[in-house]
Amino acid sequence: MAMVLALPAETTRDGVDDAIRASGLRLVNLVAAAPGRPRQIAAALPDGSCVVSFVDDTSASLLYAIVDGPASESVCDALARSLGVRDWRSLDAPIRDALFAAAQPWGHK
Amino acid sequence: MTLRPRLAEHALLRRHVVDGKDVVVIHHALTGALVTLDERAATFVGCADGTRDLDGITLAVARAGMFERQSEIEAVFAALDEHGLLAEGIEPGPVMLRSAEQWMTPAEPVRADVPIEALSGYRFRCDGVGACCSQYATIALSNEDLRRARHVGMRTLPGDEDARRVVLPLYGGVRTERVAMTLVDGRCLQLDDDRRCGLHVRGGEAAKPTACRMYPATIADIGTALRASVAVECDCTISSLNVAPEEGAPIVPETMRHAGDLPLGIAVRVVADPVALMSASPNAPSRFGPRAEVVAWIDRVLDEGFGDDAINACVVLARALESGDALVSVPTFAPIGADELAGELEGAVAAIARDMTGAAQAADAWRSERDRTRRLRRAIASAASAVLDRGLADTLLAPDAAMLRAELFALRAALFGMHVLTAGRPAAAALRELAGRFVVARELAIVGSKELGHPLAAVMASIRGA
Repeated sequence: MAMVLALPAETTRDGVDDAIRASGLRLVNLVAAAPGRPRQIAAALPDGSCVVSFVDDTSASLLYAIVDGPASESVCDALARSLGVRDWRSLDAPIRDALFAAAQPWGHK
Repeated sequence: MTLRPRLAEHALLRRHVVDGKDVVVIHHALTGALVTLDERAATFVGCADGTRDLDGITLAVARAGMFERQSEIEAVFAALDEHGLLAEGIEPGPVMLRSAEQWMTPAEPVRADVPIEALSGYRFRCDGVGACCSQYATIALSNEDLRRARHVGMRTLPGDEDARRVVLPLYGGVRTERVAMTLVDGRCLQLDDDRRCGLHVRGGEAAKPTACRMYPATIADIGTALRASVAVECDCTISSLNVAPEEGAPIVPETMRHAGDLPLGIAVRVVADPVALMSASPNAPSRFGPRAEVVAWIDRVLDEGFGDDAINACVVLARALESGDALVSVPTFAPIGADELAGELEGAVAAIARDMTGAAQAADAWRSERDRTRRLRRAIASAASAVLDRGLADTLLAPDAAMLRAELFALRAALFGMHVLTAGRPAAAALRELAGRFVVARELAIVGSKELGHPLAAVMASIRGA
């Protein structure tokens, strides 16, 4: 199952770009925001063993990363080191529930 | 910033190798400004083809293996925008191929039969030492030239086996039919260490780019004919004055008799109709003449001769064009006193000093000390300043016979080839500017290094190429 990291509110675009590079990821796609669709930055490891989607959900005032693939653990570690992680328990319950329906919170077994 | 940026057509992107390091520069063709890019910024620019927004450029940069902060990419484009180097969206079509001032071969079908008139009595012999391959900011070629070059084995930069760093677009940032060769310390990348064209050595003359094969020919469209003359910008053009007819080659091959015979990709300068003859200010022509009449008048001058001093002749012609009865008759080329001549030309020499000092300072900032262009600009700026410091009258006195002969030929070539009518300024101003070049060349002959080549060719090439 994919993992999700809720990122600190002060995370900047430069911070995300730096984290992508520091984690050994490559930028693979940028999806502009549209009605009902948040802006996303997609990055992946060159060997395809991990794909990360950084989602800037302005409607929920939340930036999070969904990390998927066999190398997810190490990439989550690297992203957490670069960007820090917001405690998932600080999220509003409806948002948290929606997130966790699709992905497991990183660091929470 | 523009939404989907690309380099504008007036942005001339050029790759240089300077003391072993790649440097990409953008010349602003309209303002003369120069922007230097590092390799990563050059990659950003290469990804901005007018179809991509900032996200698209960021992705393209990442696909080129150079993932960067988007803010840094944005900052590069903001800086280029500030310099007026960006345009929006895809290019409207092939650029600079046909305008009021210039067109590129092939000729329009209806004009394919227009005859070519070549400068008579001149045979050209290249000395093969590559001076002309190491003095211009741009060496232009077509994709067809590039294909031929690849076929015979084209030189690439170290580590560039797939030849990605051999050419850049001639205009703007999007590669189209015309490209510009990478220069290594100011020399064409294809020039071998022994200063011979590597393409010529490996594939014969036919392997060279078309414009190089046609060099130093200039082509001007006078409406009823094309005039083929000589750009006196290389030592060989002057040393060829001593070439026996059986040794040199005609300025255009004898098989090229009509416009339709010219190879593809040759620039043809158009003589405007009417022609601007003089102006009260540089940008406001105040007297014009019908093209046919002006051309006929110049031809009469060539037929009847213009004396034995080209500087004097330039000023006499300029004055004639400024007088009310211009084009009625050929003026008398009586000698003008040195002080009077100096007064007429001081402005032209001052303009050369100013422009070349600026060009030399710009070159000093990034060009290699080995770069001939840099040394030429510095020497010419210094010579022009010295003339002004000492007074023009001294410089005008007693040039040697060889220099006088070279000047007379340069004036004949400029008149026959209508260079003074296609210089982007009224003819009278162009003639004074030409005389100013002759003055500076005379000074350079005295103070310049022999290594710079013939002073007149050096001045003529550098001022046009700066």
